[in-house]
Amino acid sequence: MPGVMSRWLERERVFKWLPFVPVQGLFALLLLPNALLLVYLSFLSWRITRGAWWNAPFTGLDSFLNALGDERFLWAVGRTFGFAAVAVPLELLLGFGLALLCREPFRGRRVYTTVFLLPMMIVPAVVGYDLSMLLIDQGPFNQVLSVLAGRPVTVRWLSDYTAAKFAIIGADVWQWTALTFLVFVSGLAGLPRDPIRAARVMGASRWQIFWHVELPLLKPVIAIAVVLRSMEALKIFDYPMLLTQGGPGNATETIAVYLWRMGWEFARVSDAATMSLILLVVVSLYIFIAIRVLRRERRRLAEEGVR
Amino acid sequence: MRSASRTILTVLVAILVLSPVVAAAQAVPGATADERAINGAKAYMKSKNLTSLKLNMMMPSIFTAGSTGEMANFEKATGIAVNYFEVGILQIQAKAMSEAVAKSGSFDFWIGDPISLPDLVEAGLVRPIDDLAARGKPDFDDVVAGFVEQGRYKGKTYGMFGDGDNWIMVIRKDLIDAPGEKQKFKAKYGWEPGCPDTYEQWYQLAEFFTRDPKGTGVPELYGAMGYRARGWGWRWWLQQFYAKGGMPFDDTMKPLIAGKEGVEALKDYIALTKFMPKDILGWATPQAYPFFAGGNAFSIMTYPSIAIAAEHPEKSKIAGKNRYCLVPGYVVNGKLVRRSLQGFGNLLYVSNYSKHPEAAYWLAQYLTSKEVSARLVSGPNSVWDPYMKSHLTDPRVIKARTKEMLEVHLKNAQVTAPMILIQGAVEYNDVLDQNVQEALLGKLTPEDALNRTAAAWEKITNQLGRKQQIEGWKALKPAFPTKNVPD
Repeated sequence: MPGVMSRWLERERVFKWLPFVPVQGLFALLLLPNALLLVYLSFLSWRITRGAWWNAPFTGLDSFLNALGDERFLWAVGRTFGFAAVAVPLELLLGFGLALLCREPFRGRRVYTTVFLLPMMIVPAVVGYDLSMLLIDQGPFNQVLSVLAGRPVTVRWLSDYTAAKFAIIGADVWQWTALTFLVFVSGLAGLPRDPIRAARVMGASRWQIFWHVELPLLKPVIAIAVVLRSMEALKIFDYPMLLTQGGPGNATETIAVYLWRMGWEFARVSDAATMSLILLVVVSLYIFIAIRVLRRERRRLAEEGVR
Repeated sequence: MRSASRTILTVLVAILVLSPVVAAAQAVPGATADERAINGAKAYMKSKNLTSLKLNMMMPSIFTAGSTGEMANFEKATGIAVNYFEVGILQIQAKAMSEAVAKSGSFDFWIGDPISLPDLVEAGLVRPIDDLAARGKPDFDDVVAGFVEQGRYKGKTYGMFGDGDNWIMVIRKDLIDAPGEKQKFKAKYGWEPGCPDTYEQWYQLAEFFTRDPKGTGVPELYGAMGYRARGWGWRWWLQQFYAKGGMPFDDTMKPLIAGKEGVEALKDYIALTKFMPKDILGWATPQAYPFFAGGNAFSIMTYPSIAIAAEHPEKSKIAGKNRYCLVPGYVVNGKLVRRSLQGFGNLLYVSNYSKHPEAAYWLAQYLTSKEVSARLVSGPNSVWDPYMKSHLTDPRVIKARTKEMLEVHLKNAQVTAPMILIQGAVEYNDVLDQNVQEALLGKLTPEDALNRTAAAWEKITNQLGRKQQIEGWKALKPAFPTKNVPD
């Protein structure tokens, strides 16, 4: 028997996967019951104010139909994706730009790198609170803009329907550009030198090297940054809650804010569970597509013999 | 059979006769409610063989001022300390609701508004306190009429009332008395400027005193202030709606808000906003109080704690320059109807999952006793507002708030209406809040905003069960004032 066991353990596939078993087991233990409960609750009609969940009536797909007919939920979904569609590209562009600036060695590079990374290390709630003070219409932010513009600037960042959306996007960009910066700094540092050298020898300009060699090589890194930031951006909660309470009106009510209200303020846990499941499916689909793109790029690069 | 009936009857009579005797035997000694709270707490500690105890408390962050000192006094007297954690005032409900699910006992008691009471009782989180109140005899009798009821639900008491949040109106008497202003105002509007009786008069005052001499669009003085931010603004509309003679529902829970009264009140609410700071849609107390105390506005309708900020000897630029007014109203069927709103009104709740609910209760009774509450409402930076008849004559409260303010505040209490305090209240109010703000922003017409609200309310009522909601609404109706104007 010990012989069979050791032979089994010596098999490469078993040996490779064995260390992951405890981690995956713990992962399953912690997440699986919650996920299953979430699915189960979405088929019930449970409110916290109506006794224990196990006594709640089974209502089948009712809460799914309710969610898909809930205008406020659909608006929150659209708004959140719209927010991510603006914030994530901005973070990618800025992060990439800063990473390019910090790519070559120069005096003070470490200091700049640290400063660029700092926002990421601040608790989002603290950022939200500070911004709620900075962004009032006669507050410091508008005062700085007034000096720059040479005339009084009184943008109502927290109470104007459009400006409030930009305030939320701005807060997210300010804090999370640091992450894309970090990803791109590592990506740029890890680029293979040979193709770049070869292009240079062949007389390619700096721009041509960047556009035709470096950028294609960075595609997997870009895909990772897009996936990471999109996942987070679609879950945004802190800034709309702290800065605007989802207002003015519902201008900044994101999915997470609405789900929080639905579950913890309105006590409608089953409806919140259903909505979060729908969101999970949509986000998973998005991530699935992004990962497929990432894999395809990796495969293409491998076939071209770059990596 | 007959003898069995006789035995049961005898036992019942014995219970009836003996229960007051038993209750009296359990009554806690002490001449005042705070003394009884301390004695009750000491007796509890003794019965549990404890020398020290730490209770966990959830508290809105703006309420820490003053409260912590009184908790330290209670600890000194009883050995019961409080470990409090602060939560944003609008997040209390969500935190409490999550505890109703978790049942962790992570806090023993908390300060929260009455809006969440029905839902939190149904969720099983709040402990009824009638049994403990029968022993401790808190100062319920001294509380202004109508307020204690806000802590009651389905015939039981769940919350100790601790904050008289019925709104007051403040105007700047120094600006009215400035040379020539009265004459100019009277020539334009035909009445002597002063406390407005109606919203129309408030509008005129606001229009007159909004001062933008350079025409920049950023006035040097704003004519009016009220709350318009998400989470707050709906309350100010509700007050105007009540003054119009409106009621949110009929006896079948059919929403009545989208009628003439609601639409007119919303139009007036929107119209007045043009004399307020432009950023008012994002402001609540932390922004509004310093702005008014800084002398930047002529008038404000807000919580009575504005007096602490406005009369602050060092921080206020307008100390001694304010006039406290009865809330304005509308002329309905030829008669003036004034309505104030119990716009928050904090209660102290004891958790069902507390390991020491009795200890938590004694502290709640201590904090809401005549003596301690007077210290709380008169403390510097306090946002606890007067709610006891004795506060009116307490020199400490008079010093902090002014005699004039206290008299007006307690008169306003006579015409104070409750918010919508039925099951699902948070959801009803949230939908209203959202649509009122959309109307304020010009995204919806007042008619559309209120029709949408009414449709959403119908849906909420149907989801919660109409029959039960009708019962809740009927139970709340007696809390509405019957007087049109205060005595």
